[in-house]
Amino acid sequence: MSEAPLLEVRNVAKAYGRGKKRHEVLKDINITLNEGEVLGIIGESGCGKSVLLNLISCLEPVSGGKLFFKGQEYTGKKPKDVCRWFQVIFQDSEAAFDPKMTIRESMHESLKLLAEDSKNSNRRIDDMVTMMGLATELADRYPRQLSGGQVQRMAIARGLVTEPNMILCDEITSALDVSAQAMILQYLYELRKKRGLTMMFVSHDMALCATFCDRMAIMKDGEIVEIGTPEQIMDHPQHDYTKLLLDAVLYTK
Amino acid sequence: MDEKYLLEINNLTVTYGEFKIITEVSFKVRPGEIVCIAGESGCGKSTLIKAVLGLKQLGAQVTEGSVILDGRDITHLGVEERRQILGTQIGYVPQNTRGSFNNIRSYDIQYKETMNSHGLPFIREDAVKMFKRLNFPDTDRLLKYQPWEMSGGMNQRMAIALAVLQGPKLMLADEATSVLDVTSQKEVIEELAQLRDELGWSILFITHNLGVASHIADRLGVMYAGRMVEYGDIRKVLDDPIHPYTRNLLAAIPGRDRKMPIGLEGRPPLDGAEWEGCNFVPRCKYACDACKHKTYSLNEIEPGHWVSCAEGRGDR
Repeated sequence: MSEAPLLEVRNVAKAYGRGKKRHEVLKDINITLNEGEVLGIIGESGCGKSVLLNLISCLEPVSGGKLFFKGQEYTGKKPKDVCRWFQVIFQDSEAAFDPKMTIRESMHESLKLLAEDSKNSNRRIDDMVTMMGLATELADRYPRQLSGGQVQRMAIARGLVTEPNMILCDEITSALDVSAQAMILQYLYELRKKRGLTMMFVSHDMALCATFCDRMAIMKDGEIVEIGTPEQIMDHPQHDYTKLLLDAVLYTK
Repeated sequence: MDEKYLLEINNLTVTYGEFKIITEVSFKVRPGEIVCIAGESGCGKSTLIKAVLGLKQLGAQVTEGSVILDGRDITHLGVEERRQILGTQIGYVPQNTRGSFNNIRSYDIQYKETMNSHGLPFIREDAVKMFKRLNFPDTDRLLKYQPWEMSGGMNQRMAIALAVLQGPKLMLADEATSVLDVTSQKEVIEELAQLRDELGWSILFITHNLGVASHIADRLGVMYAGRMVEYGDIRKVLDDPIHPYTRNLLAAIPGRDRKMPIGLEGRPPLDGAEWEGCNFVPRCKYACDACKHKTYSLNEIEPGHWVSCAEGRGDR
């Protein structure tokens, strides 16, 4: 048997409320993700794509199903048990940084909590910041002193500085201008080439995911309706909803 | 040429206090035309709408230039005179319609209130007819609902229907589809285009999404840091962009070819910063010495295509 996948999500479900008010937001989700793979999760608001990331990173408990990391079940663990494996990056990163700390101080906190050894932490931060294409001096600024795109790249740097096995990106470019978005993708792409980054990338932008994901999963009402390579999804969509979404993508040419 | 324009923006400069947000912007909108103004956050595209609406309480001050609606200078109208043209001559669809409707009052009360405050009667049948025309679901009961019961997309369409009922000649839409899902976004812009075809409206559509612009606009203006850098027929601007900023913007958008988009490093100059020469120089890979000292204004490089760059002038 080949090596176990990095992440396996097996029959996972999530519901909020009880009795009559019970509301199912995720139903029977199955995903396997190998090391070095980038999976795009696409869906419209309310389809449950952010909840899925919360479940994988143990920010919320699952209502059913099991989660495996390298073949080991980790269902029901606490966020602090899994944060060395997964780092989540959110849409609004300015809110995710402490406004009273410089970016560097925030990163030191992450390193102190998560890294095996805290030696050379300044150098590691500088390396990571450089890798995201930013000047190292910018790390000594406060979050509000950076542009939206820069803060977002700092957030990715903070996520990666502790060397997690995988990063989970929740609409990380949706609040940004297209040119800032493209910069982020370029640096993520570089990182992928250099380090074999494993990534789940939640987005509502199909055209965007198709440019750099290995596989794309289409979600609707808490279910994955179709999953496949960008070629399969973009050129030969099977499910009606995928076709509907594709039809709504507005290209400039 | 003696052509008739519905809206003329002439050499408009707008400030917030001492900060200059829009600098010397000029363009014209013909009757029945959809004009999109695109650009990234902070480029002054929403301020442009505020200047046309004349919403002084929002702080925008027109310090130079003029706004001409149907031959009438409306730049500095008083409150009462302005009230007579807002709604009935200039319609407005904001980005956040959740914030402009009261969430817990039914649509019919809010429709009636709005119509009456613009001196128009509210005729329920007309509203229902409008909903039918726009293929809204459940048209007969729609007015009884309250905004919180609706999706964001449906709410946005109700706001558009309300603006239409007042029968304006010019519609201003400020990022009217940006908060919507892709599927409802497409519905909304197709409705706007349909209404234009049927009613002969002009629409001034502000968006950061060039895909949306490509889908509905006749003409496209690209703004950068308060200046119009390129303006012209939509296909000319999108298929044959001249200004380096327009080219960068287009390269940053994921296309059909699934190639990696190309970004643009740096950020625009701060609001109101005094600037010598072209303000795109720090991010421009074609900039030459002349660009550092010279400010370019829009120049017609081919019929229906204006560019404010040395690139389009052949003097490089």
